[in-house]
Amino acid sequence: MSISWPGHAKIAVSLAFDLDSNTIWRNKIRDLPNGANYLKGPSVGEFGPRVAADRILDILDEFQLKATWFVPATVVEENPILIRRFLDAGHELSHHGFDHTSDYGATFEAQKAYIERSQAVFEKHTGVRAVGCRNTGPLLPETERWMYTEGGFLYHTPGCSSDLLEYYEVDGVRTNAVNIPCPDELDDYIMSVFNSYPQVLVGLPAVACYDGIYKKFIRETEGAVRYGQSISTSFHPQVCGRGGRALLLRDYCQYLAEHPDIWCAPCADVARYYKSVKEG
Amino acid sequence: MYAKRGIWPEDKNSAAMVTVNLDAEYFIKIFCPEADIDDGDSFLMGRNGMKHGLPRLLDVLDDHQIRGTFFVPADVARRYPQCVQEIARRGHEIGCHGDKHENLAHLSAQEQREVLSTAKETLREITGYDPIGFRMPEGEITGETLSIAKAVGFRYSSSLSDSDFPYVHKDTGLLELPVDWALYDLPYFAFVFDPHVQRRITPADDVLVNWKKEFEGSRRWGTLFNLQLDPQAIGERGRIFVLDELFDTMQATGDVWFATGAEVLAYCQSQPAE
Repeated sequence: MSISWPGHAKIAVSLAFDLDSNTIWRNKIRDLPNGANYLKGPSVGEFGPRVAADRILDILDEFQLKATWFVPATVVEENPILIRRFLDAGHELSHHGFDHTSDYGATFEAQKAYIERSQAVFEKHTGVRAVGCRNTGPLLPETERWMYTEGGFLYHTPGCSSDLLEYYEVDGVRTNAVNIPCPDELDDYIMSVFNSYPQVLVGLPAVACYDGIYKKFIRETEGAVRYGQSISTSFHPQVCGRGGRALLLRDYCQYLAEHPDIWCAPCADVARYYKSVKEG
Repeated sequence: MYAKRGIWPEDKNSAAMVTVNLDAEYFIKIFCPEADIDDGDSFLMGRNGMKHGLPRLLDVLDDHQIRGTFFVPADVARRYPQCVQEIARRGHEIGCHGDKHENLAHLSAQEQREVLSTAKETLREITGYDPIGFRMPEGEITGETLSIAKAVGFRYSSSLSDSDFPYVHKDTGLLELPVDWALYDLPYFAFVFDPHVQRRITPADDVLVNWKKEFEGSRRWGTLFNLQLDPQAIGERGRIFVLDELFDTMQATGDVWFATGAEVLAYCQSQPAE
């Protein structure tokens, strides 16, 4: 059931950026011959914190939008000044794995320790803990039950989550956290990342036409407004912060800022607002 | 404002390099590293690109009075010496793109030294001068590769993608003129039945859309617009219009400084260090 968002908006849209840096590249090349020393693949990712993040901060500032940054703990450790800049500008920092590996551990205890280890890094470098999770690997139901009840997490927004913004359920049992959908149509990485060795994406599909990419953003957002279903993006600075694509991002930010039916806010604000309406 | 801006000669907002990766039949190594370059459709495509695509590309560069930077695997220079000499004669810079398009990160330090020294010597023999630009053959490199490239005598690299501004690589002191896959024609256009590179060919108009948008972004953020071309891709007769339209658009703005790799190097060296 849809709710009325601040400003009588029909939906909430959370601009969310996955600042993966080189983590995803390091994970892909780890087992290749001499892989630990490769420069090229990781350099594609390092464009994110090195150049793109500041460009995106300027665009968000231009339209006075606040976003959520999903950042692996190791990337927080390596970029303390940038992370401070996010927080000083009023953006949210959220959980995106320790080093973007998919292995959170085999048991509840191991997974809980992994998440706590990431939280400790956040706390050490920023003084804040994540209240949301876009996990980079599968979690056990026990882990999710803990995270989304007493573990301090307010929302859950990995790819392939449900189409609906609603209370998140684990094995059919409602948690205290909100599921925020994250549709593939708003994932720029799968539309425009490319690298020949290792093949990214596998099979080497070409970078998509930018007009088509932008139309996907708009079509998906129109669909969300039509059905009154709130969404978040999965934008990746390493691709969306490159010169031409940053212009697409700027256009999309302007579209969100000016759309009368859209409340654009960080995931945590959206989750808190939803809970406040539902819980009175 | 947090974002950095580049500062370019003549108060232009954008700097552009038009570079060519003259891979000929070695292009297949980007998609199928184990492929035999002397066999099958990819061999014919490489040959065809050198014979028909390259002259079209050179003419378009002349028409727009743009001097390009051609990164040549030395073995392509051995196989097509007259083509490489013609490129040099028409005023373009010749740089090095490995010897046989090696994946340098898979070679020992000694092997890399041999490959890059031999490649440099071969290009010198064919063009009459020492190349100073190095672009890694698509594959991988390591910090060791860049150190060796510098020791062998290359003065800039144009290989990595962690910026869209020139920067000095911290461990080696080598200048990097970064590249972006979205500004490279081959990944949009490559198609071979055998060996399998069976990806849809992107409509050339879509590629033009992307490159025009990247140029707009380059002006806005003052970046280095580093275009990478392969004659067999963009030199195809139904695609070459992309370059005409792109260069017309760029030149009509009056806001772009076209330069070769060597010219960007000289400009960067004339600027105070950050």
